[in-house]
Amino acid sequence: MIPLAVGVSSYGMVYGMMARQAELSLASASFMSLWVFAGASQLIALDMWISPLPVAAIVLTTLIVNIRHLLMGASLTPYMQGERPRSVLASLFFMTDESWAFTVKEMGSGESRIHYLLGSGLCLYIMWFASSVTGHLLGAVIDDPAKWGLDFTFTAVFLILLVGMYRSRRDIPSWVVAAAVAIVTAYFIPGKWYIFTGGIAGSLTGAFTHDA
Amino acid sequence: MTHEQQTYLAIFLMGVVTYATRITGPVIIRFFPDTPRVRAGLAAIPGAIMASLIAPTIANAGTAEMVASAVVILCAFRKLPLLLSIIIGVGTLLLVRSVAG
Repeated sequence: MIPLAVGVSSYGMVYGMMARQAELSLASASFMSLWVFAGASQLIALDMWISPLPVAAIVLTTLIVNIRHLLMGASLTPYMQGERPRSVLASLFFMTDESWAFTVKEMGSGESRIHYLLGSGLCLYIMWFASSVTGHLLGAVIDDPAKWGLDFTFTAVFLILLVGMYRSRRDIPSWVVAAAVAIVTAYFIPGKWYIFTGGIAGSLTGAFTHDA
Repeated sequence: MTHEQQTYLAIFLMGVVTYATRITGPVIIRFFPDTPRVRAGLAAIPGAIMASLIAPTIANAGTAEMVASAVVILCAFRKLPLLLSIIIGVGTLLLVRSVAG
């Protein structure tokens, strides 16, 4: 969790800083972090933050960037059996790439509580908010995260989690297809679409290579 | 509508659609039959997303990232603690970057 929290924090500081540059007040920048809680879409939205504000375009872009949550939420469905709807809905609010990945990892080792989402997500939520505020207050006086290799932190974490997910050779086809589709998608289509297309492609591969 | 009001409206709607994406997944799944094949597809999602998350970055990475990634994979196979693997990976990255210039 700690590496994820560190990565999220540096990301949050970048967001806070850029929010200030986009002339968002501390209040609205904080509101976004608390209410949306989705780093990639927040940063991409900031890029569109001009006056007059293109509200519809911003909201639509946010929807598209965050569509990968559909897949992530779907993949957690088996672990929602028997849980109260209200607690599932609450837990899902805190689902991010990081808390989802952490939850999936924990589920893999036999734990079947969806509330790992809540625990890890809440932790990241606090860090996200705190770092957003910090970034906004610090303004332009901030180090380039790349200087400390923090840009690599996310890649490293997800790599380790991926290795941990390996069960048998049957996993390989869907991973390879997912990676290939993701790379191609990222080359042609800007934004985070590649996660969605790669995820779908890998999922379909897993379904079709399954010897029913 | 003032710029201030528009700002809050935009942020409010951003949050609404984002939360919608978070909770709709399980709803959509209900439209699929519960067969072994569908379950296999569902089970493949985590790995597929994880692989998709990192593939483009690694594909476009420089030497330092490639070497660091290889080291991280090695650490993972050795089942080293997560934090240790990260530290070793980031350390390797910084090392290679400083050496490679």
